Amino acid sequence: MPDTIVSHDVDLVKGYMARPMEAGNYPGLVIIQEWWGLDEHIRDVTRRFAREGYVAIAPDLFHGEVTADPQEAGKLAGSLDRARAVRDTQAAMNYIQDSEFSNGKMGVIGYCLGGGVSLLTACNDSIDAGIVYYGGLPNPLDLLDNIEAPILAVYGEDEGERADELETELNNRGKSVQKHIYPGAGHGFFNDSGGNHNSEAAADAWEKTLAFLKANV
Amino acid sequence: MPDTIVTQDVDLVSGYLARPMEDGKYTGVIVLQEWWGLDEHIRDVTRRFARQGFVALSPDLYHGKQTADPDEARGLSSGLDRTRATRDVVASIDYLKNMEISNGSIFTIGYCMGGGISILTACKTDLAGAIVYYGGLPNPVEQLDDLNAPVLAIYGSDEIDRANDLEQALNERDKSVESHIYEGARHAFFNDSWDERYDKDASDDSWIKVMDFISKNS
Repeated sequence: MPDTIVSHDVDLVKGYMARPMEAGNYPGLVIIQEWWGLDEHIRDVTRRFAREGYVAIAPDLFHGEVTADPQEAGKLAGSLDRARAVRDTQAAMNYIQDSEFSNGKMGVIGYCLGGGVSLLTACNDSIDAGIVYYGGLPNPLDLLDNIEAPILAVYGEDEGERADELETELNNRGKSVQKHIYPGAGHGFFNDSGGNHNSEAAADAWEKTLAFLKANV
Repeated sequence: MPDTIVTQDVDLVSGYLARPMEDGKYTGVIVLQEWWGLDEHIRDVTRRFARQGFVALSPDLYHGKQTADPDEARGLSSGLDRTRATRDVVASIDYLKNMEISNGSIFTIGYCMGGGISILTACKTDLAGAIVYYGGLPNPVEQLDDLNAPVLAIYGSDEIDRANDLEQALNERDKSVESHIYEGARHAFFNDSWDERYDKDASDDSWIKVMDFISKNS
């Protein structure tokens, strides 16, 4: 009798990893995508961090979907289950910590949509450094009570109020936060494949990010 | 200049899926491994559920490791981070729910180590039902306060105390529980790849109980 079922191995959560070629123990870094998905830009950023000595993974929060269309990106981001996104981020952290390359330290960095997920992960997990580029605040705000890691907040001038609010909320809770607002820069300024790229602000933010990571992971 | 890095796509969580060939809407069953890992027996059980008309998925809680050696299995099981395991199960639930052939109703069933994780998952997320074969209680047991799903608990008479503890802990909290204790059957009696422990009568009867429980709660 022919079988009536189909069976196969499946990948439940996927990601893109970049790490230094040389064997050793390196700090881990999870890179969280913008609302476009795990696209070539995010893969490029993941490689850049690997060249700086991090075991870096970008989890695929959209589970296979990538787009260059803002409307579709808005839909994907709007329907993203934030709790699932945090779990996928945690899966990436666990993967790094299980690997022979990990030194046990862990940072999380996210851009745009991923900035909010990065903060949310810092509210849920014990990490060593959390970095948010132009990301939203957690809802409800009291989730920030649980943050243990120092936070680096990087925003363009167009979102100065959001940056100030994040800083105030973290300060009010006695949390460690370092904020940078770039005059003349807008949302997405770090993305050198996007229309809002600001190379000066991006270069400076990159230096600040590396210094922050070096100090904490 | 040659690059100094290595890059690759990686599977952060993986599993084994079995589903009816025919398109349709099916209830989901997450099958949770014994302490041996995602071995051929658990894959076989996963396929059995698919043949009964379920979309069945077994996550690899050991992330690539499995063993037939009891000492190694004990080491893997005790080294398993329960929080991480529960997240992997929830990742499986997320995956199933997003499949076109899912009808949205999901059960967890776990054996031995997986039995405890089945219950633990039901304490952390909404399920249509949780089935435990000879599994441990959550630690701390107060996590059961958060459980919403009905529980089917199946034990051999060698673990009658454990079965009673679970039933009592659930009854005290007004949770729905149905327990069955099989006289003369021992821990792992459902595992037909383990001659010494397999009990065909208990195994067959408990399979019917499982089907009834799922059909009642779907």
